Amino acid sequence: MRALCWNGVNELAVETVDDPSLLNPHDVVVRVRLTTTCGSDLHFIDGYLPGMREGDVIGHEFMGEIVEVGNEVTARKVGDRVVVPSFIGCGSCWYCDHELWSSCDTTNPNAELQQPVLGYPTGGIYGYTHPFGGYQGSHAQYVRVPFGDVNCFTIPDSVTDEQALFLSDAVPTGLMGAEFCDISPGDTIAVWGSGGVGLMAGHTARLLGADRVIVIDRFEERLALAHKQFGAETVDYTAVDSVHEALREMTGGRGPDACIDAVGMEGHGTGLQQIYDRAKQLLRLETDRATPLREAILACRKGGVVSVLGVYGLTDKFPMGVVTNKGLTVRSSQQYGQRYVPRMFDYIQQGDLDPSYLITHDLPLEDAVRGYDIFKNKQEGCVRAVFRP
Amino acid sequence: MNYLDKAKEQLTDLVGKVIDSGSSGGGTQTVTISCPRDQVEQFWRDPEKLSAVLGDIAEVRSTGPTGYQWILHRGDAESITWDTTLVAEEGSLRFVRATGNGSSTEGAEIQLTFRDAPHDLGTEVTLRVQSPIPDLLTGAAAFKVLYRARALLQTGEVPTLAHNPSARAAAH
Repeated sequence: MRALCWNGVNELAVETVDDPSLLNPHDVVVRVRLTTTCGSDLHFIDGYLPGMREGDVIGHEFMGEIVEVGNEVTARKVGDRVVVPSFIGCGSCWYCDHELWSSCDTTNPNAELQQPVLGYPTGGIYGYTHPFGGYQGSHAQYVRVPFGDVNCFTIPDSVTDEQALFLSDAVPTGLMGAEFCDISPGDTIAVWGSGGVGLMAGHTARLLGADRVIVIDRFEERLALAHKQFGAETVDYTAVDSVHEALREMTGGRGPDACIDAVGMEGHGTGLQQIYDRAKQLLRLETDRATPLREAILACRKGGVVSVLGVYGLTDKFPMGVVTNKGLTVRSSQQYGQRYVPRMFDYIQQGDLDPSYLITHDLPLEDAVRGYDIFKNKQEGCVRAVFRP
Repeated sequence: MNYLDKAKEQLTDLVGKVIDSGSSGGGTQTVTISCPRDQVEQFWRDPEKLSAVLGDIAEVRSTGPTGYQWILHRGDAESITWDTTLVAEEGSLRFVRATGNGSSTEGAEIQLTFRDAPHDLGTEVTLRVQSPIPDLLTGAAAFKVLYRARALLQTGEVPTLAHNPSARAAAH
């Protein structure tokens, strides 16, 4: 089959690789119909997240059609049109039982690589470094899905492929981040980053009752999308002296009730701190440029919530004193996609959310290298590039 | 001693401590498996299941009612064979060397202890490697074995990357 492979830092290529096959009795094989770029892919493409190996197939956000099922798969069948959350659950362990799906205790074949760093390993994820399982990814014609009964969700006829695609990762990540904010009517939520996850966080914060959503970014087209799709107020951080001051002024000196960081380890900003972080990260003296995270902690009102969706390593200069003195609650996780899929189908069917507006580039898989280049460098107004194998 | 020398000494000391802490973790690991204690204990008596969770590390064969032969794979090097006797005690199983002849594996022992977990969470299993056999069940490997055992007991399968599609054979 054809697949997009990581061959080294900033070296991608569409190559011919072996087809996946059923290896365990609960596996299914999905023929990928749509798969999309995600900002978190950029961290290992750029070489800041370790654990990729030459030839790895990347991609973790996808939907498709089941073409093979293992002999213990009972709830899914060949021909089902399905969306698959990016983290792999087993449906049997304590974490899956408690709907903390990305913390699954049994689906990471390389769990021993994560244990020394995290203490306890996460579940596996498709196409996202070997410490996170080493599973091959979805930017391919076919993908093997372990535990097909719990990880494949049959898509209702009224939901299109393009709508269902983002239920794999961007929507549940955003929705989870909005839920972390414990939104009450009248609340103001600030969101750093208006990529796919940031837009879905802002959009679902609205659905959960936020009175105001303020989105912070530097790309005019993305900020315009946030305003158009869910009435966000916007801050272009390159046009203000200080994001914190801008937010303080917009909220009458109180600060947002909750702040969502949807950026992660390659955050941008302005000023000396950004230059310092950038230099240290380039020299591998620190893993993260955590400007948005620090801004979110500083800007949040006292007693508020900071919800972290961005992917980070071992962040330097985490302002713990600010968290303590302001009584902030910091919540974060990799997404619990399986928990949210039925609700996300409802949002789409009720007309509350159509995540297909994230698609700005619709390309054949053979153009995936160009698609990532456009996506990474934010060319042509790219929010998400989608590939059709 | 100038500041630079002092800093270098402290850095060397720190690196040494980190290396020591990394290598002294030994082969002791604990997990909770959400299955009854009898079922979990029985699992470790089954050579087939032991082989399944050991994967590339070793293969286990039965040589008698309490006899187990471990064939330890060492990459390109010749395999090592280790004959053990299973000693069952209250709350633990021990694989000990079958006969003492002063070999390099003299005193080597793999011990598993079992406790009922609180709140009906299942069984707590601790794996200890008393005397490290070369390349066997130390640190990360011990955790990998327990992780795979838990997966097999709880889900009926071991997570695997066999035949993983990739553009490079090395990543398979």
